Amino acid sequence: MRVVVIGAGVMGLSTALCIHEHYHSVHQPLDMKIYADRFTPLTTTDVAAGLWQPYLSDHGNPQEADWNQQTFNYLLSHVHSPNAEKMGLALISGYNLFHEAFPEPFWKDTVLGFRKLTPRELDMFPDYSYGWFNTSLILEGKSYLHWLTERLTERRVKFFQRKVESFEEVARGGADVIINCTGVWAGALQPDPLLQPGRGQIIKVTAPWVKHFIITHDPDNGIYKSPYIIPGTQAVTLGGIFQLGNWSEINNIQDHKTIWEGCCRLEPTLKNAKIVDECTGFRPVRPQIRLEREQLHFGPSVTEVIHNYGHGGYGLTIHWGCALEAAKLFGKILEERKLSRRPPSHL
Amino acid sequence: MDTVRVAVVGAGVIGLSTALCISKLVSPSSITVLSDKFTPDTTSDVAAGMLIPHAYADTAIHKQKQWFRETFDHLFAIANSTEAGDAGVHLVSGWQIFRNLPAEEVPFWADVVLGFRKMTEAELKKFPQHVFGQAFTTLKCEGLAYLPWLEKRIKGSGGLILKRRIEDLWELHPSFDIVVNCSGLGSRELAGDSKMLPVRGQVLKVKAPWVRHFIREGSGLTYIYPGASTVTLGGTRQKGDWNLSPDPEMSKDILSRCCALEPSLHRAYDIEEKVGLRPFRPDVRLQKELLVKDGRKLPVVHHYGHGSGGISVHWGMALEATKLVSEWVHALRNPAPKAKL
Repeated sequence: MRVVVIGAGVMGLSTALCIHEHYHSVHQPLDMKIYADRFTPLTTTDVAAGLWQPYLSDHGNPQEADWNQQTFNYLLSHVHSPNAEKMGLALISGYNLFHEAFPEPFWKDTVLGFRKLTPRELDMFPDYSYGWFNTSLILEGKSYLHWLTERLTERRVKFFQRKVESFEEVARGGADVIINCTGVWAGALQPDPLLQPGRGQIIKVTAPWVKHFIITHDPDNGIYKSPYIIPGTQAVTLGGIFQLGNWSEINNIQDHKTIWEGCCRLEPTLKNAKIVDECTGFRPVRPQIRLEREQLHFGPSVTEVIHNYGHGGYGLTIHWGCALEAAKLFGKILEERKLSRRPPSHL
Repeated sequence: MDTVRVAVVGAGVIGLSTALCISKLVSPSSITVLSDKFTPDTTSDVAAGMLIPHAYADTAIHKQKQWFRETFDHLFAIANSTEAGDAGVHLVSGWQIFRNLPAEEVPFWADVVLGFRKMTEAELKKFPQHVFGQAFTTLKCEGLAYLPWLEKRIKGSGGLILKRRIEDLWELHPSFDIVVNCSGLGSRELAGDSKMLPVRGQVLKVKAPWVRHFIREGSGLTYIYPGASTVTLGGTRQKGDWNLSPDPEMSKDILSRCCALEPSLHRAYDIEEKVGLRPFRPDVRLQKELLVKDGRKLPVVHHYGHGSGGISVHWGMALEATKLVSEWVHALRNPAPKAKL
């Protein structure tokens, strides 16, 4: 069975690993290749701070809540292992801040120790009058992609740098199954009017005394448009930009000011922090994730495609649940082609 | 009014904070800090500086709580200001965990720290050997940054800082009007106080920047305290042990105990061993004493013996020590026939 995964961000690599773990065996070797024009550190995943936190309200597809939870549980089971640091995985606690009372999120029992903020804690944030405290996880994109790449390389999965122009070219190249993890650029392979870039810009600073995440919310304005501070292992990510439809990959000076002023107002200790990097990325925004099969016909044969894109700003948060779902779909394909020797009961 | 000349002996967290308080609150005064050791070579530099009080057996709980609260509030303001990075003060959240149900589930300081609550079942899963835990947010005050920051402020207030080994408090007479003795373990000699004993503590300072939470075992013997640039792993408590050299076997044991609580520490790097001698006394000595010899008089305020808990109470106690200094100043300026002077 020849499998080609298009895309080497968190979706591409984790889906590849999940499928390989479940279905590769001596009796049914999988010939798996990964095609991508961008690899770490140049993917969208590399820009993300990596905090596990879904959107505040259910996003439309009830399955997504399950996938978010599965991802949290999967990561939590790894956070106590000696591997955690190499994966870029750690526990992290912090604050979600609002201007007024807000309903508790659907993920409040998934994270650890969820509670409302006390008045003394709110005193630290004079612009906000309500909020939550909880312990979550951080999965830093760069480290995680490195770790996934190592695991895939161990399994002899091959990586190829190439810009795929069409599904047809990959099908005619011999692929039986194509896993489409092209993220925000999926429209180039197949038009999708529901997919748009949600441009984000972030500043990275050295401020190792910051141990908590601080996410502010302005529900009228929309998600990620309000300042946020997320401490990574090497640097602290400052953000607060979300521009739908903006394809500019250049760092914008006005956005820089917005982020810097917003975050310094939120956390005055940052005023003396040294800026070490600034990046732009495009969240692959879609009303729902596209995670489904499609059969394409090129000539006499049928090429199976599994789409797995459109994870917006919560890709790292939901990735493993989606990878498991994609693996399920892959299992069905195998069954249908009668190549599977044993049922995928462990899914 | 004549400027009162105050000598502060000792430049650890107690000496420097007391000197700073006096310079701000006793006026007009000139402060001179004298010490044989300065940062980074004091006991305060080895301590992790976590604001978690150590209960003193013979001091009233309400007093200890007051000193802790005053220290917490003072440092909390610094932690939320642009000074935080320079002063080495920051917030940190984490867990105190117990292998057996503690006698006291809610300690006296629970409402001073932030967000204090019991750990949930899900949180306790991280620690399979432990049956109970407390989650809260507190402050870390790192000697290596805080002490230089205090020194800067003392100099800014016109204070002098001199490297000098004082063998006898009388050396300071008659150059100084009042002596404040913050010499910690040194008071065993300097104040002839045989109650002062070292409680040796060995720690590891490691790089593990992915660790963002503190973990402390209820006994206080094993702890993981993440700081701005290093994580302090501890520890030991060896009463009467004066040995300042790190013991490699002990280091292995500390690392092993900490990795059991936080397995990711197996990947810690740049491991440094440090030893500090906690200035232990059954109780802290904060009191006035008038030294008299050959017709000479030397007013002293003793402020030493904080054991494991110095940083947690330093500011509140420095304020109180300053009150005692003010009492001496008043007595000096208002000598009466029946006065104790």
